[in-house]
Amino acid sequence: MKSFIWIVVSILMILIGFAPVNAQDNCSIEISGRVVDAETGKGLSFASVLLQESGQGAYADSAGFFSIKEICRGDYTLKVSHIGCVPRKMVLQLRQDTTITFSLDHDESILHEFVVEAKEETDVTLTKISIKQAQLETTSGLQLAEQALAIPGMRMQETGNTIAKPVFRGLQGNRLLVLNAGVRQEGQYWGSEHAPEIDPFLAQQVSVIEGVDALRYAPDAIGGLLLVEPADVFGSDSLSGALTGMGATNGRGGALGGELMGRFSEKLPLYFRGQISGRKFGDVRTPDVFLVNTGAEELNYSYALGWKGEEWKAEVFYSNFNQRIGIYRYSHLGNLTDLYEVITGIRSNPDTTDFSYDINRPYQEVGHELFKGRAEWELNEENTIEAIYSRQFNSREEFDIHVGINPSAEELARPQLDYALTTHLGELIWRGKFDSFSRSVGVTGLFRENNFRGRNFMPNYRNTSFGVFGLEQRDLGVWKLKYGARYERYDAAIFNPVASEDDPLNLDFDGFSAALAAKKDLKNGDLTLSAASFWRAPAVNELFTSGLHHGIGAIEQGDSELQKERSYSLSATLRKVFGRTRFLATAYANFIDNYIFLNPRDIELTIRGAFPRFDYEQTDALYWGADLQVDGQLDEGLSYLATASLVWAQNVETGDFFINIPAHQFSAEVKKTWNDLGQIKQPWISLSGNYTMEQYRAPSVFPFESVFQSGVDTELPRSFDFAGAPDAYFLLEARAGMRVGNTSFQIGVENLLNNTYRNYMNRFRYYMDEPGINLTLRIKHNF
Amino acid sequence: MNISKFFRFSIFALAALTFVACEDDDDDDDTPSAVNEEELITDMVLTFTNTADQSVSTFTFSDPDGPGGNAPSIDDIVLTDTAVYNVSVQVLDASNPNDVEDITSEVLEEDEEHQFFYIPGGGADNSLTVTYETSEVDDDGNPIGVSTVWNTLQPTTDNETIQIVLRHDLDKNAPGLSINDFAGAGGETDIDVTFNLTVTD
Repeated sequence: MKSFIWIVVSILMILIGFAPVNAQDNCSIEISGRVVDAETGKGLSFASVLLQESGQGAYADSAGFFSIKEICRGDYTLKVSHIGCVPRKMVLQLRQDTTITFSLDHDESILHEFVVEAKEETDVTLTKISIKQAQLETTSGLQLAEQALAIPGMRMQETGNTIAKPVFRGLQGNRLLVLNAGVRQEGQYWGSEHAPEIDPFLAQQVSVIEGVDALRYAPDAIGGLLLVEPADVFGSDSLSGALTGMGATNGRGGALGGELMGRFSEKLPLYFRGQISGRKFGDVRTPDVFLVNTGAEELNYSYALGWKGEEWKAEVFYSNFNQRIGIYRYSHLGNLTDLYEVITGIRSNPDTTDFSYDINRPYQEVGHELFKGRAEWELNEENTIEAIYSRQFNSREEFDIHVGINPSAEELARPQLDYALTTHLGELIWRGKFDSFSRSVGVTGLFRENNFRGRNFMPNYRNTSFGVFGLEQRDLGVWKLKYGARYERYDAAIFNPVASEDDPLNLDFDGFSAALAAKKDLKNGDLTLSAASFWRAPAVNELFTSGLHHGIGAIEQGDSELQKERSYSLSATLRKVFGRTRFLATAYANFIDNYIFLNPRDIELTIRGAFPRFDYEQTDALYWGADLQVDGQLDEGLSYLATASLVWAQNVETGDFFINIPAHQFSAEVKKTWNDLGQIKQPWISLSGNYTMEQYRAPSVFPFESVFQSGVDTELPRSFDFAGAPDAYFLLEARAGMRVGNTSFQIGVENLLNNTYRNYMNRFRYYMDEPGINLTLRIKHNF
Repeated sequence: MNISKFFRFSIFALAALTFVACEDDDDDDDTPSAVNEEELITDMVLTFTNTADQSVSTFTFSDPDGPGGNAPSIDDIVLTDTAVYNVSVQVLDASNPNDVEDITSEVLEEDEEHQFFYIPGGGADNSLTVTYETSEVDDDGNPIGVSTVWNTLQPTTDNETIQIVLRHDLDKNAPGLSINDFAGAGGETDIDVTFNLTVTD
């Protein structure tokens, strides 16, 4: 049986070739060759090759080639190592010039491996940073945003403990797009309590791309793109699969996943992959109490079928996502007075010590279906054409606490807010290879329709978007260049309650996006520079939202006069290997012109009392920061990883701070791996600490007291939050794992010290502490 | 490894089923239709009957477009000194002027879970007292507060107010619970309206 893509076990092969050469001096022998990945056969860049006896050594270049000169005759131990791989030693009798190829196995003990890809294909991504299957397994059963946290610069915005949304370099929501299997995920992007509707078990690889590489997908990737990539349907000729199980003590739940793939018959080039997963958790416990109604359940499945002909291949993909998530019971409040009493502790929430799996109001029921068909024709060596059609249904039902006074049975059964979003997307792309460059050109068309029932928060709309893009890349020797531009036209027809079906309000926006990235090979590293400008049309919620948001007790008001938003971003990423240390650093700045945000404006009286009103407004914003990561080996089997994620954001026009910008975060992890103990392969333990600072650049606190005294006439600050940013916190986590045969085991303890803390990036920080200690067990069996 | 016919069949069956499922969903989404089914409370009407002469006056809080949009209109309550008023409160959904819905009856149907509170502000507790109409109780014998009795004691000075709050899901037997204090009883706010109050000579 052929091994699966995600199995990081393969057979070591050493191919040694001897080249006969002329008689030589004693110390003029050269050893050269290549270090390759045993699994993929690709060169391993910057692998280190060391002759232990003489101390002579070299690093491979970006393609894996190396050479060491002026070696004296003798017997040597040659050690080849590469971060992410099991180091190899071999004894050599060096008598003449020698050429040698090493294949290195992946090391399962490696810490958060990030991979910067440079495939030798027409479509090279220069800015992609990925986390792969092996690492995703260490967080299996968690939400997608939680699993993506291993990507440098990736953070998350939470709503309670059941809803997590990815945040990249401070940006989220409408500005950070998510792609599922190459298709732009269409959901209700706008709410921070709307997590991506994607089964995390589907992911073979999770990546982030920015700048020029995002142009192919969208004109509006202002904060980048998060790619969720399932396994290639053509990945296995034989039947193979995996079963994954995860259990956790906090929430007393777990997740199960199964996957099967292969080829139907040897005669037919027809391939398949099927996958199913489920998750169920009950109430989560802080160090002190159970949080009422914080359970979640999920059932998802997907399949893919693929046909690989001589010059063409075609595949269909279908995924189905179903989720029911409890929202913390005491997060839905009456009015400003209620919020004040909870924040100041005048009223304490009646949390209990009774655990429950029940999910009652308030809760969300979310469904997502994606169907995709894709065909690729290789017209000749140089030209390829790809066509993709996809259709998505997204449904979101929100069941509030407030169902009206004396509700009827029918009122009790239905959601207070019900969205149905249907999206069709077509893409046609040509890719060509030329002597000195390659080029791709594509057209895309998108149709969206949104319907709502219930609480009148956002109008119905239909919307079309047409785009044309062109990308080129050139290899200039030292520099690799990729650049491109995209034109997009966006039309929207807005219906009730803003206008009507017969006489809709029509809006249109259009504009260009353009980007450039350049990558330079350095000694033992590389440098990537990226510049990009994206734009996006104001979203329908930003234009027309009107009403009371129960979850946060605030009135939100759209502005139909909003203009399009445009970003100008720059970033530089440096990767370098120094001895046993690998270093990754990114610095970035993103200036956003006409940045759309919710600005606190007023206090509004309603029959339920006073509520703050937030208006959608535009300003100029600047986001800047740095992501740093250092990892390496301290000793045989002892490795470490240290990261820093720094982000700043500011309203350039007023100098104010924005709300919900992640505070700086620092983490460090050490890991010890031992040699195989009989059947127990590569046992390891690790300990990691994570320090999150207080967000000292937070808006001022809402002046509750003066509002209650002087009512609606109170002068409000230009920017505010309902409570100050929570204190800094430190979390400790321990993990251990091993592999027996085809089965891997991992146990972990999160929040080892059972610390009580609140997280600034959790919208429920006003009401609840974060979860306490959690013990997890993960088992994966490959077959 | 070979795959059995049964297995192949089940894969195709699954595929076929999911395609059918897609079609079904599509039918639902053909026409956008907005139905605003949410129950809104837009108006609170206070009806005052002077026990001396049976004269009736009404004061209203009205916000027909609901939260956001246009600001609500709020009448000033004007009463005469040293009088006794029987007061009843009525809550309405008047968002559709052609179909005004009285929600008071729904409150009364769920009377064990609801209670109105009357909180004088700005020194108004010197100008009047408000007590529950003793005959109006729920099945447990606790007050509801739709009907109240207001005694004016002296003319008001500036800035006196009366706040009227409807709470639900509260513990009506909580210690310290009174007509002007619901702090320890839990529950949530359905209505919270403050009227300016004038008691004339």
